[in-house]
Amino acid sequence: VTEPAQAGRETGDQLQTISLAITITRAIQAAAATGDWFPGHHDADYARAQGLPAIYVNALFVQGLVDRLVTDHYGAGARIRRRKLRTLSPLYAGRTATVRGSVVGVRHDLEGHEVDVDVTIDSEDGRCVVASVTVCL
Amino acid sequence: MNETGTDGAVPTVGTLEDALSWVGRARTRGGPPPVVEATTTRFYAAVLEDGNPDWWERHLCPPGLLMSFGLSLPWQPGGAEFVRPLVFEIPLPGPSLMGSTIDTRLHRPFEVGERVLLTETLTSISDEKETRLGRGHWVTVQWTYRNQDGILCAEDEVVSLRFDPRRAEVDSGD
Repeated sequence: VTEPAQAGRETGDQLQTISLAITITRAIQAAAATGDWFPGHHDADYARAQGLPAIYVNALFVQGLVDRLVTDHYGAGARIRRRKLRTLSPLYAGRTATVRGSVVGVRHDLEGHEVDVDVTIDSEDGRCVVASVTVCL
Repeated sequence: MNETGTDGAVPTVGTLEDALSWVGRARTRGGPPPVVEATTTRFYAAVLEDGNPDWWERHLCPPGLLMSFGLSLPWQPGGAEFVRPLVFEIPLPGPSLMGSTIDTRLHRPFEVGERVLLTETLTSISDEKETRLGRGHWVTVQWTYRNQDGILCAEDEVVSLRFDPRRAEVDSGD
C-alpha cells in the first residue's frame, strides 16, 4: 500500500510544477473538448483583428490546468471545494504554460485536512493566471 | 454565416442603457438537460494530459468542464435555437469578450450519466472602464449547476469584460 504524499500539507510547501506546451492543436482541441467555439480560441484571423498575437486557450482549459496541478499532487480522491481564478493575460498558442503552486493554509478537522493552495500560470509572456484553490484531502 | 463561421459565437452589440435593463435576469437552459458523458470527460482530460483516475476510472466529471454544459452544439437538426451564454446575449457596446475571474464553489462532483441543469443570472454591469484591451464593461453572471434530482452541485461567479478593441489605448506591455 502506498502512503499518500505528505508534502503539500504544511504552509509553505511547494507542489510539483507542471509544464505543458500550448500548441495550436492543443488550443483547438480544448475548444472542441469544451464546445467553446468563441473564435478567439481557434481563429487566428479573428484573434489578430482583436489586437492579439495568436489564438488563446479558453477559461475551461485554464481551470483544468489549475485543477490538474492540485490533483496530480494530492492524488485521486482529493476534492477541490473552491477555486477562484483570475486571468491577467491570455495564454496564447505557441507558448509553454508553467503551473506552480504553494500551500498557504492548512486546516484539520474530524473529516480530514483542508488545504489552501495559491496557483500561478506563467508563459513566455509573463504571468497569465493567478488562482486560489481549497482542496479537501 | 460569416467567413469564419463564427456568427453565433460573437457577442450581441447594443447600448449600456439596453444592457442595464437585463440586470437580474435569470435563464435556465431550455430543452433536455445535457448528460455527462464519458467521451466528453475523457477528451477534456486528454487535452490537459490529466491522468487522474477520478476521470478515467471512477467516472466523475472534471469540475473545470462544467461550464461547457451551458454551450450549444454548433448546429442542430430542424433549426433548433442556438443558445449562447448570457454574457454573449447582453446588448453592450463591446463586440468582444474576455473572461476575467471565475469564483467556483464545488459542493458535489457530477458523475457520468447525470444530467446538468444550469441556470445563469446576470447580477451586475459596471460603468465603462478603460482597460489594456480596450474600453468596456465588466459583466458579472452567476451560474448554478444542479443534477436531475435538483441537488446543488456547483456554483460559479463569472466576471467577464465586454470590450471594444478598436478603442484600445496603446499597450505599454506592462
